[in-house]
Amino acid sequence: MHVKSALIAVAVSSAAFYTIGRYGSEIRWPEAPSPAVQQALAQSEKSPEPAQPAMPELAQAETEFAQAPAAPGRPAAPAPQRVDETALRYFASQGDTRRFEAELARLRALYPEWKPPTDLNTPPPAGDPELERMWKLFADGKFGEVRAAIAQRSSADPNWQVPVDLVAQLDRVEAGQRLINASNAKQWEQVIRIGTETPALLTCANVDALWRVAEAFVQTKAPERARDAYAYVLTNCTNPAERLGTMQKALADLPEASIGQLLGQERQNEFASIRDEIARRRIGKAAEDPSLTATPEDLRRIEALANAVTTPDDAILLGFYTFHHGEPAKAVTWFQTALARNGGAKAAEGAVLALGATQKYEEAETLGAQWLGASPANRKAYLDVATALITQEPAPRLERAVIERIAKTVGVDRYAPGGAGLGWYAYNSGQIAAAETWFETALTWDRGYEPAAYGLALVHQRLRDQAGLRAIIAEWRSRSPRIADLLNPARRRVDTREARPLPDASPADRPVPTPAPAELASRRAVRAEPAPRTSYEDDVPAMVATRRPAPERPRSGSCGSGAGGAAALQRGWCLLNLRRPAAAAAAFDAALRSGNAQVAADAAAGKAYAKIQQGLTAEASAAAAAAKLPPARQRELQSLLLSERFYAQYDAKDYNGALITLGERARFASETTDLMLMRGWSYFNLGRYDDASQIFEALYKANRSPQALSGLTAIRDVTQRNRS
Amino acid sequence: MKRFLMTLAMTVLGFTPATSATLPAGAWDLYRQKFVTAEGRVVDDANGGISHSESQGYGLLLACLAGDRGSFASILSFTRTELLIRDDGLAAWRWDPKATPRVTDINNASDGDILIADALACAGARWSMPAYTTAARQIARSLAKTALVKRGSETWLMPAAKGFSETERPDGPVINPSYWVFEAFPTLSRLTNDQSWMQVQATGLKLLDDLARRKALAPDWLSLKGEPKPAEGFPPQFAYNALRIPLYLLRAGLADRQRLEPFHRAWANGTAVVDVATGKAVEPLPEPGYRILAAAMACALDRTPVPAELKTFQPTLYYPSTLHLLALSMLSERYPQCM
Repeated sequence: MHVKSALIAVAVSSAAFYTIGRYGSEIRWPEAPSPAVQQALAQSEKSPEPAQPAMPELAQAETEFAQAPAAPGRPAAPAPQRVDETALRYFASQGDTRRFEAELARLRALYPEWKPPTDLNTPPPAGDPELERMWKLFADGKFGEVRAAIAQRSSADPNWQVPVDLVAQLDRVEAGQRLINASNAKQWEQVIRIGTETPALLTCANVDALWRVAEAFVQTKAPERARDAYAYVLTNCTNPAERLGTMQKALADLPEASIGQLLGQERQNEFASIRDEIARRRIGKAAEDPSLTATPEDLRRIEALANAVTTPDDAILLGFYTFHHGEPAKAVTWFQTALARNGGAKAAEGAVLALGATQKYEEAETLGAQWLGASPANRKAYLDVATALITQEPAPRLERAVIERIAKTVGVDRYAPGGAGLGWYAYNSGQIAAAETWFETALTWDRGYEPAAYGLALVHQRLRDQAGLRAIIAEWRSRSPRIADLLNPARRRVDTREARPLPDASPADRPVPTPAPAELASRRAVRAEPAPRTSYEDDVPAMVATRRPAPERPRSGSCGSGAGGAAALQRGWCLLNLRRPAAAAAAFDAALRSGNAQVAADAAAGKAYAKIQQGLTAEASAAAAAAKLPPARQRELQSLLLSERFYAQYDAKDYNGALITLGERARFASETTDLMLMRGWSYFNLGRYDDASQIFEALYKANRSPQALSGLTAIRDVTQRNRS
Repeated sequence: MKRFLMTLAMTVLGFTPATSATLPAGAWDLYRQKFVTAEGRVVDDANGGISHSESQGYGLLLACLAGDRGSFASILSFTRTELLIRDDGLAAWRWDPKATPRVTDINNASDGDILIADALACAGARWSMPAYTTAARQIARSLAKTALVKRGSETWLMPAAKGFSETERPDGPVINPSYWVFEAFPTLSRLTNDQSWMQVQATGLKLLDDLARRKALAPDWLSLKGEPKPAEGFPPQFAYNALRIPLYLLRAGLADRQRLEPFHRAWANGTAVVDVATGKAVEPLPEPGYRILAAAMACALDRTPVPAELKTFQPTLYYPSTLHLLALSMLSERYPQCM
């Protein structure tokens, strides 16, 4: 249902608690308050009358908490035009400035023609101590007691008329509290209804109430009416903090076009900070989407700000903008400025990327190494530039410590391009054995990474290992022309790497560490995430190649056939990498039977991975539990198993169970970005939109992930749909 | 205009339900001093000092029965400001002074809404306050839309807007038989000109009569999936909820001998929480506010005089004290010979 019609229906059916006039007849209840409000707001925009209440038409229907008994049959009398100044005088006599000001604003809003009395210091006419007590209770905020006192007196003295002003004041403060409560409880239709029923509430004396009504309009998908409420404040209210706050809220809630209209009501450059923020937004958007360009004006504005302050944020923003718009050198400067201002991980990430883009790889690597632990994005940037650094030709002369930390990071992240890069670095500096190991390792990390296969093929060729070379060509022929061509002297192309003369340095000059055995053995990819497949000719043969039925063959191509425990172990890992988990499990079993304790422990872990790959999580758990694994390995396996369980539960739509599993997993390992994203979706599927939105927002802030953005969009879609 | 005429007609023709009911002023004063704050909050002191739509509803009803217009006004002020904030105009059921925001569950409780509406109707008639009557009508209309569910020829009162339906619970729909505040149904029906409130009454009475025929005691929470049986996740007990049923029947003048029999029998050896499967007492209920319920049944069934110590009211905890006052008011009105 459309919000407006919903409001009308609600207003008509609710016909209000206290719509009874003081003479007992029902005051006409506005049949359609929403259009009235709209019109009123529109009017207030046209004629900036500082004293117009936000909903002036309804102000005429000032209602009374029906304390006065009904006297049936008497005709309705017109609402009194006399301005009741009792409260104003009372607050003045008490020196209660805050309430005095609020009352003054309220009366001005209700009666634009009214002039405040000048004799406020004369004491009010004495003679009604009971009424004095009521005002005192009111001033003390004891509204329930005022209600009780009025009711008691009405019942004791049927001739007594409760002052209209007292009742109006009570109605207003109670409605104000009720509006806050409804708004805190996200009862947006009720918020709008209360605002509509209590126009006296929506004045400059209570901008918070206006904001809450505006939020209710936003939440009920009526942003144009929220804009009207904000426009009301800007047209009529003078408090600078409240005016700025109004614009900040509008900026958060409304589309850009509406914000532009509101900015037109600026007085004396009061919204400079808002304009800054808008320029930031535009530049930020363009920084993410290189097809967009920020205007020179916006850029000048933010550049001036960035130069004027000592904070890093605008410098970072400009860094990413220039980086994505073909000005990496400028980006380097901005990021370095930001770093000098303690810009942290984001500044470092940008600086590393920008240095990389200007080919200053060594500098980039050195900087990146200091920020490796800061965030996944920093690691990613580091791996990018480190890989670029080591694959340069000719191979640069790097310090041993540098190469070692690159190798370590590449190993921990199982980053195939980095592994192959180290392969090339070793190859290019004449360390063929190390190159072989790195290319092989890169392939275990990513079976489909062609550059590693190509490197390995060249190594085999260099070592004259014809069998090894043929095995690679057999596997890659259909996918990689350059590998296929290696055994074809007629069509053999000259590859720069191959043609290059042997490095001028002796291998000892640039020792390349080989991957640690733990890196080879552990962290096998288990969950078959469909990684973007790189195809060199076409997709189909690749599929055939990876799915060929091979488990019957006892001696699969490159997995060896040794009988000892260590050989069986190696075969197990090899088979696992070929995604032949059943055969791998058998090999690990063999290793378990015949190997020493170290081998057996490794084999048990391997078996667990194999079982996971087969989808047999229960058996995998059993295998993991049976093995005496070192605590780190045990934790890793547990977290992997729990990830598997999580995905299974998630797929089965058991979102609560899935979240519990994630909680368990957190005891073993920190949550990966992927899993955090899935946590967000679990909340989403449970209708826990606030929780989901927290997760997606955090992810989006961390790395601008488009998946997180689509999560946020989905939440907005569904929450708005539910409200309409 | 139509509404106005109806209000007028009701007032002129002296349509004044419950105006004649009486509650001794002294007893109400004791209750008010102990459980009602100056701001109009009715405090459930056995539950961490929270308030709820039920406590506010009982407070309003008792204030009306006692003829205390001032207290009614302050309790209503609090109820309206703090609880009647839902989009549908019903009351949020739970208010906790220690929480921020105070409303900790925006769901409603249908009995709380019925009590508030009934009390407003009582006050509107008693003090000729058409605004109260209008408010009562609005709550009754909204609650009918939100909580009444037709199944076949029956009309059931769902305990809340959310959480108890067929789709929300495996054993749903789940109801609470003690949410049938029988005295209110004719009032709500007349106010809204909606017969479904009388159908709710009929459905509730039929349920109680069916249970009585099977010599079964009503549990607090009942699953209607298939044959009525205790709902999952709640103790299968005749406990703090269900023990109000005989009181509501008596107050509404619907206490047939057969209908009351299971309740009377369950407490033959003293007031207690009773396991509905075994009929065994699980936990004694020694407070006078519970014992007077047994005494009221004995009076209604056998004209047994109410023991003197139960005729005078001394506040204990909020809930039994509330039941005590409702029972005293009912006895003095309907069974003066037992008093």
